[in-house]
Amino acid sequence: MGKAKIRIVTDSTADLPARIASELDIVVVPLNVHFGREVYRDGVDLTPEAFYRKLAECPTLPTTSQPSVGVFEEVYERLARECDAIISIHISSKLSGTYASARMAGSSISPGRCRVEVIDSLTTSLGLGFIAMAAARAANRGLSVDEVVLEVRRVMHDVHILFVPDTLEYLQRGGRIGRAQAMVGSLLDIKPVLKIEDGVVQPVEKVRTRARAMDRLYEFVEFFPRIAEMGLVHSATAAEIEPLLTRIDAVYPRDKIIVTRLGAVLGTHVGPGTVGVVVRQGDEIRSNS
Amino acid sequence: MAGAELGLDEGLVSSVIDSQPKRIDFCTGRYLRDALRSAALSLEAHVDEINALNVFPVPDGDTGTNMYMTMQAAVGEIDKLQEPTLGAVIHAAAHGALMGARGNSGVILSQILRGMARSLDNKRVASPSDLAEAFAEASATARRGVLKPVEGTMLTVARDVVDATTAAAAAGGDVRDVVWAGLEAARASVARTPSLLPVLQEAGVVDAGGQGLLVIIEGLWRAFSAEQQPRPAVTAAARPAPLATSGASYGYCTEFMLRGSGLDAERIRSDLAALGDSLLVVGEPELLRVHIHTARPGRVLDYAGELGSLHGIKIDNMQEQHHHWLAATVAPPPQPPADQASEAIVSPLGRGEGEPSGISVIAVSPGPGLDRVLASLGATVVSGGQTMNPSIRELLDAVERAATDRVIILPNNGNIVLTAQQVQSLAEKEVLVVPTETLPQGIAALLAFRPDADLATNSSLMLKASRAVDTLEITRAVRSSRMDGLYVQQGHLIGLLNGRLMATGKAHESVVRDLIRKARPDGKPWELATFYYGAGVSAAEAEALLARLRSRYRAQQFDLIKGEQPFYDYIISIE
Repeated sequence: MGKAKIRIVTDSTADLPARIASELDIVVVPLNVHFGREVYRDGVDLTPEAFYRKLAECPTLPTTSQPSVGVFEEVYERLARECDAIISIHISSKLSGTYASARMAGSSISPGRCRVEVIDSLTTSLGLGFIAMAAARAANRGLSVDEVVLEVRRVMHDVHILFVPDTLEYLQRGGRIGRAQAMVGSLLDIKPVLKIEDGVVQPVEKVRTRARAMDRLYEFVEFFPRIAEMGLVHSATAAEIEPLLTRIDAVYPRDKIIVTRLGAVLGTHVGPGTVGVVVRQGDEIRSNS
Repeated sequence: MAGAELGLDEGLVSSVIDSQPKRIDFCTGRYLRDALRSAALSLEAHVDEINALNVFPVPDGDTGTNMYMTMQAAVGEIDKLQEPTLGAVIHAAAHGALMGARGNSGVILSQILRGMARSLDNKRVASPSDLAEAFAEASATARRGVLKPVEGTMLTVARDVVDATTAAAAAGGDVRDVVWAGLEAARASVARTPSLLPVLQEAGVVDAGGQGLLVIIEGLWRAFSAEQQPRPAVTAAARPAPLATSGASYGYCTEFMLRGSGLDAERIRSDLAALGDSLLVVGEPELLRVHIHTARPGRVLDYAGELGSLHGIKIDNMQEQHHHWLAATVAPPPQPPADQASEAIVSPLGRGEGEPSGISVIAVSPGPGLDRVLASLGATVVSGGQTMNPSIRELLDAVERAATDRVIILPNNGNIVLTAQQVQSLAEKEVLVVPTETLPQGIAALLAFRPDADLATNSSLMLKASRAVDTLEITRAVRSSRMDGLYVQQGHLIGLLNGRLMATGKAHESVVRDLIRKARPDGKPWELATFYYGAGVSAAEAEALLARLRSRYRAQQFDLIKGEQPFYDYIISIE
């Protein structure tokens, strides 16, 4: 009996650099960004750079939507012809309906033909990205479907995100502010420091200055005794994140950090000027093993 | 026993003591009661004098006020006694002082009374040596209650009194001799305080707390000696309360919660402004907390009663400090709906579910504008401007009213830290005090609060955050003085940096700039200055000052917030 061939699927909110997705053979399903009547597929029709330019120019705020069930069905159909199992990992179901679409589509593939496991990552951005990468590596190592699923669940616990939006306005307008709602309405000008935990945005702390917020991001990195992978995701400028990268370099080599821009969908919900650090704690992994 | 033999009757001080000075071999409950009443009167007559001794020439020196109010609270409890036995009197005094203690000096005084109560306990009468022992226990208890006892303060005076009274009792003196010895020792000790504490020497004053203790012992002496005593105000007919609304020393301190719907705090505030002062109206459209000093509490309650239901009504006669609790059940704080972040006055920070396992933060605020800022950051606010130090009872009540089992207190004033620590030991709930000494430290600590972390983690996070800001305070000197090599003229502006007098001048801008220079001598950069402007400053003035400063400091951000605090034109945080 041959080993089961497993394909990993995720969505565009994972902020996976194209190079990594292709190296690890991960399929990325795009969410949608709507500017007025125009619809763009996140990362396909609209790169992050183009998105932020449009965001600055457009008077009305964009909105986002999950991939339709049909899109997922197409993807799964295509993959089912060449593999035995699909593990489809997605942005927290409390932040997007993507997981729901995927599940519905998954149920239309008969299990005898191809097993489809749809998993709610309870996170997003590179948090989701690292989980998908871990799944792909596990699949490449020849693990069984159940073992890969187990690995996914394990890595979900090891992934942590701390981020600082420039303002809470975007989160509030997009309805994803979650428990950080408590931070709104302060009479003092504050910068919110947030995390994603239990699938929702949660408050960590309020600080008064941007510099202090950057301090927190650095301290977050310092906190972990062993870091397997790190990402810095942002919708700010290279000049703004440079000092932070230099600082982090002292405790974790910056050339190992995946630095990437927040995709259009997440960018819509947190706004420009956001900086976030994603850490996967644990032992270092050898790439592609 | 001895009381009956001496033929004492009830009544006022002047009639208790025999007109011939003869030996008083035993101190009875009635003697002690009258002595303590006399002490309170003595303090009352000297409040301003003692306040003026505050080393800082700042307008909010309040040692006199704090000690007087603490003593009044003690006497208030004594007045309720049916049977003034010695033990009952001293325990009542200790309990009253404990609850009513305000400020550091008030708390130390309450510890003194507590020590006396522990020593005298259930004795029916006290011999001279019993009294000396009681003073010794009092001194030791007070000393134990202070984390870092400093010589040249009330504690030194107390110890010197103990030495003298012990000696007098051992030499066979009577009660009068012992009190006299204590009085003489106190006088000498107070005069020596400048030699023990250099800052007193430089300012040219004796220690305020020590002087307060001396005044108290003078009062005790007057009761035991043949000297005539003025009628104590406690049992005198009430002075006619003026209908004018000015003057916080008259009228009734009136507080209540008003529950209704669509309550308009601004409107209520302007309506009530005509009825009194020290007015606070804070909260939500469904639940407001109202606090006012008024000569007509009935009018205030009638007015508010038309707008909704009243709860937890408290009226203090500020002259006599009698407490009347009406409608004693305070309504439990409203449970916020689960999907809505709660900003009700008594809700824990950041929790929408009102879980009792969460943590509340109680912050003491010096002004109404700051009440609003602190509440907007999720704290439960207790008002306590410099001269409105909250008492142990007030803080304790806030702790008990909080919806959670764990509470953090931010005193935000050096003079309230000890009070908060007392509350910590008295409260049944788990209380953590983060010893913030200024409002900016308190705000920094509040911002650092993590609702999902435990008390220990919050303790270190909040303390660390409070130390990361520099506090600048601008006020006017109430007298000319010399401090830290700086000569200050009465009426001029003075600037304090993290509690130390560091600058003086005639214009706000120059004092601020001087302080900023001194705050960052090594050129360590700062990003943000937040100015909380006080009740004596108009918005236009404040904005003009900031405009000038912004043009000088182009790289930094300046925020302006209406604080409405008394006495301090500006409280500023630099970070």
